[in-house]
Amino acid sequence: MKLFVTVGSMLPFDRLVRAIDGFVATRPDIEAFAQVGETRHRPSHMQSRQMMTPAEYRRMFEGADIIVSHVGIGTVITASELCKPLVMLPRQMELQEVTSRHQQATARWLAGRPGVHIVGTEDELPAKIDEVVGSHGVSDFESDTRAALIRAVREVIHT
Amino acid sequence: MSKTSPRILAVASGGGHWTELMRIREAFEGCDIAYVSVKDMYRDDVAPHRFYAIPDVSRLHKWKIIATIARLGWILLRERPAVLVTTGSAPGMLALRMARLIGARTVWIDSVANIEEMSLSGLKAGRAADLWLTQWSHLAKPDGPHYKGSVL
Repeated sequence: MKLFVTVGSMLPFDRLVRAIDGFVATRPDIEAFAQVGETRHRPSHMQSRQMMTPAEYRRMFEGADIIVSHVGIGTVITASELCKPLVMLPRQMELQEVTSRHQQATARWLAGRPGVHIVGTEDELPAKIDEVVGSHGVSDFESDTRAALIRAVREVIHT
Repeated sequence: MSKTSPRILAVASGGGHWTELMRIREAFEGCDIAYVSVKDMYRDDVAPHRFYAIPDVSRLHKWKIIATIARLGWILLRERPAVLVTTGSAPGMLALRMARLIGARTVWIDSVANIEEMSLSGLKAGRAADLWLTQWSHLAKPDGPHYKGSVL
């Protein structure tokens, strides 16, 4: 099984990276790669990079069976475009992992959407990953709301 | 008289803001478009269009604001856009306010991540924008922000 771990670039997310590093240490059947951003914990049981170019990022994303991430909108969009299952742990403001509560709100909104699997704590990650492997990815959000937004922007441009 | 393609400047900070901007690129088809963001490596996403990197600015990096404003000023004077479109966050707010000074029409699209309330940048920049949008219908108000759709 291949995991791609991605936690954005703004702030550290040691809780998630450390949990996955510990998990893959016990599991030789799992190959993991992490984009860790500002995270201080340097994984010793998986390869990692601080930052990747959008092209490298997309290649890693495409090659993975499951994406493990914080609740970032960019990750959700890419997962829907590439139809990958997501296991997500929201960052918590109380732990200085983020500067607002929007990840919790986004998590509540995403919960239950096919292909999106939200966990409450890092301890739940291993069991959730094993449960999700082989399941369907996030369905594409492609819809008339995006077309409508594009139309509204075009109207301003061409007035 | 033939109609020339309007000159657009599209601005987004990193991560999700940039991904959201990429989701509405079709809005710029037929335009003379240039992009601005905080990571030089995003250049590849929009090649062969013009791309400018600016220093990031956020509540975490307040001291960088002078450098960001100077760079944005230089870009705006060079590009002279007719319309500025931004998906946030703080650098987009600065760009929007500065673009108004040179007479550009402006569009603020608050991130779809802001589900329960508008971002602070969105509240500050939005009232000055010609089109002030939230991506959540329940956050829309009669005087703005308005809801017209979402990147998802």
